[in-house]
Amino acid sequence: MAWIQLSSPHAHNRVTTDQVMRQVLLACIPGILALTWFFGPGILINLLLSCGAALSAEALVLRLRNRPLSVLKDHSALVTGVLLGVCLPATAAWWVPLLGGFFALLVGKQLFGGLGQNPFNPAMAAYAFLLVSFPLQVSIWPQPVPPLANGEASWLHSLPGMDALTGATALDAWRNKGLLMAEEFWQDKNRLAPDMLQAWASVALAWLLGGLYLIHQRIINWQLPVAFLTTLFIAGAFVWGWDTSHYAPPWLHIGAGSAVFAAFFILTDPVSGATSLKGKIYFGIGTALLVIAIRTWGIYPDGVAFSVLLMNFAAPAMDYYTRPRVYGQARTKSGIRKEKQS
Amino acid sequence: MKELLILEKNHFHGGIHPPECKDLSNQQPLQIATLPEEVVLPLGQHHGNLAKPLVKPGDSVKTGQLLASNEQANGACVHASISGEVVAIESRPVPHVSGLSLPAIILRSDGKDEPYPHPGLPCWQEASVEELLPLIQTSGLVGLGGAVFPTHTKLAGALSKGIDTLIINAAECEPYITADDLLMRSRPQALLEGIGILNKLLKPRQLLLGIEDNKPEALQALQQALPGSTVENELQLCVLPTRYPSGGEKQLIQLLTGKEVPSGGLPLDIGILCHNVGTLAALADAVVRGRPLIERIVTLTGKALRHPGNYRVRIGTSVEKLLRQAGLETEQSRRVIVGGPMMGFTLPSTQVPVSKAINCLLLPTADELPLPGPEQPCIRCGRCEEVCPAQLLPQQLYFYAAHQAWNQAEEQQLFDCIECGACAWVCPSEIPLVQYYRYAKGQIQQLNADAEKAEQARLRFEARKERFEQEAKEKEAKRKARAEAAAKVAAAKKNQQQETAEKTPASSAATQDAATAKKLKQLKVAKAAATVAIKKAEKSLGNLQTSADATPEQISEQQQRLAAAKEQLAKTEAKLAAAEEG
Repeated sequence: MAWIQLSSPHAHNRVTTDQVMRQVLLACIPGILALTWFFGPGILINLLLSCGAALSAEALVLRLRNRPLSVLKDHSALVTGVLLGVCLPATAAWWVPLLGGFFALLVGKQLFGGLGQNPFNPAMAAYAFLLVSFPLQVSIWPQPVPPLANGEASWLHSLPGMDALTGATALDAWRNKGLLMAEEFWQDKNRLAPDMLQAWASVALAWLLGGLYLIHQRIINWQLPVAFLTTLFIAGAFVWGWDTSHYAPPWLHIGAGSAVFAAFFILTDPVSGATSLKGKIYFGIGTALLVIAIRTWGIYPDGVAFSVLLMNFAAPAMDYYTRPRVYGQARTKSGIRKEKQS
Repeated sequence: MKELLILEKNHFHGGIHPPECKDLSNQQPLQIATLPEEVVLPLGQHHGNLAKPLVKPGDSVKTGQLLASNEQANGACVHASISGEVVAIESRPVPHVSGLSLPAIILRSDGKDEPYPHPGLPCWQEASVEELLPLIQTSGLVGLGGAVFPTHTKLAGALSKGIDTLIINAAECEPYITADDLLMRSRPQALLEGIGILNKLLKPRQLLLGIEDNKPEALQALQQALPGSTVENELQLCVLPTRYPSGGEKQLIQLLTGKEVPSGGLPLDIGILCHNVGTLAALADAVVRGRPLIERIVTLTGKALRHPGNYRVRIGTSVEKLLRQAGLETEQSRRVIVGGPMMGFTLPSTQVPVSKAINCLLLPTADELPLPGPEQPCIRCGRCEEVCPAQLLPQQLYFYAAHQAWNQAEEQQLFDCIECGACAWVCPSEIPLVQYYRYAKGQIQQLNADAEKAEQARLRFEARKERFEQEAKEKEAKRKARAEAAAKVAAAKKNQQQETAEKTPASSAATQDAATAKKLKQLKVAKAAATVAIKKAEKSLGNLQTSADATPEQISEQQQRLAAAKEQLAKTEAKLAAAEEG
């Protein structure tokens, strides 16, 4: 009788990549529901298009590379599609999510060799691509109107294709407030739609819920989101304290825009981020500082996508410099290896 | 008696908590395996050199008789585990992952199990180190925790260096294995005796026993046996939270003492010695009862066995027969794992003997421990890093190992990896990480060995070149010295001649004498040259005459030459004679 020979360990905790990805998808549900509630089913259509584009792009490349299509079952393409889809405004044209999905998978991921090989977060790469190429399509969001709030203005009456009321997001409005003082800005209802802030804060809370679920399921660790959000708040407060009437208050940095979503779902992408725990914390801090810098002095209102991409560049170096001290070693060995003198 | 120390929090990095599956085998009392009809006793069951057989085929031996000795520092003796006849001494497969064969002594039982009288040292408390150590060596004791390092070697090292802490490893953190658990439950006295012997031998400052909190019965048995034992007041029992790999030597040391074994070093370097409970009980048997290492407790477990449990098994018993005794359902299992599911290895065949190293035979069904799925790409999720007890970055090590970047892998402290398998256990991509590390280690060791060889060859070559150069220089120097000396002599002579010629006319006779001597010498040289010329001419003439294609012209030419040479000789001789007379 032939006995099977295998290398140890012979046991496994039976948690596999596709299960991890499924958990991430599950954790996206509250965020997606909140977005849909406030901004209409355009979100769902975006998701459908971006996911479809992502999956078909992945399938196409797998075919071209003679890889089995069963790789699709790891759900990673689906996750990329979802993460991109939720970033796009409900009113975006149909080709925007489609183009983004293709770009994310083809350029962001498969050009580098597929799962695990991409240096940049594919969803953020695609988002940045769309933002640079079609700024209007990507930055104008519909007025947030819950379906039950107001019969007339509800998105039930403004389905995609119809003329929806659109407006700037809070950060966008703040960016364009010009020389207006903070007090005047808050009073000017024309600059910021009345429910915009509340809607975005609710969406942020929904993402927070999903994020806590991921932490609870040990899919992500808590240190990275906490490092990011804390730094965002502190750095935001610092800039705000410089001139309270001119710069955005720290709560706006966290509550409005994509900060919470990014903290739990984007920065935690393991492939393109730093890999050691210390590295992850620095990654969070660095991204937050860049976000504040871009929002304060840059031309883009949000800046999370660019910050993440920039930090993706830095991740390998951070891994070099944040190595833990190995058991039995007198001190930490870090930094880039010097070639041995021969 | 010291109070029980409960370590609430694990102090080593990472670790995992896989399903323990220990109740599969620890619910039954310790059983005794049937006496085998034949045993195969490999001469190398330990970490070190082979033992030399002292018996020959046809000899009859008794249980416990020394069959093969090993005088070398890192060797262990082999004893008969049954009484009977030596059938053969030949190469047999041993329990090894590669199906390796080693020379072995094969015994056939006479069914009597007659013991060979060994006195032992029942009053060991009065015995000296000089009495104890040789007894330990001739008892064939090796580390029974899995490393199978000869016990006397380890003790000799500890004696020469001196130790601060003796740690008794009762953690047994691997899932499934319960051999130490059952040993502590059924023979706590033997264990405490063993600890007492080591305490006497090594005189450590503290005695620590680490046991995981999933073995309450074993702990209770120890606590009950402790009063009245020789280490009653010294032994500190420490309860560890169950977390794999707390029983790894390095991790246990870190848990109990907070110290770390330096990279590439031994626990002895920080004054610590670790011993497994099984080894200590065997030590007590050898010293107190004069019973060498001829049996051990083996956990037979896994859902493919109908009667799992712990068995006292004679060394050399066939694994096949043992498994049959435990009710192996062959269609249920396709793997025989020696050791636990985390660090054990699979056997290519069950036609091997139970060696001193086998603490567990695990036969899992396909549902119990499913075969790994296909390896997926690493997504750098970092779970491996979270669980690595050595605090390595397994994902980076994997990356470098897979890309054969050996330098970087070494730079990431690949060799501090203890191969516990925690990283591979959590890896969601099911990458066989440990296999990558083993491969990388093997490759690096090979490369280093090759480099070492090349370096030695280079050194040898350079030394040779240097030696030749040196010799050439010396020769040159000697030649120069000779030439200088000769020049000096010549100059001195010249001076002398001039001086004598100038000073006194009377000395002209001497000058003349010198001139004559010179002339004589010249003539002698000329004579010798003429003789050589004759001989040469004669020889070539002879050659010409014997060879077939020589022309008459050539022969006559040679004859003329010969004649001329002879004439020359005659002339020279005449001159020489004249000169001598003159």
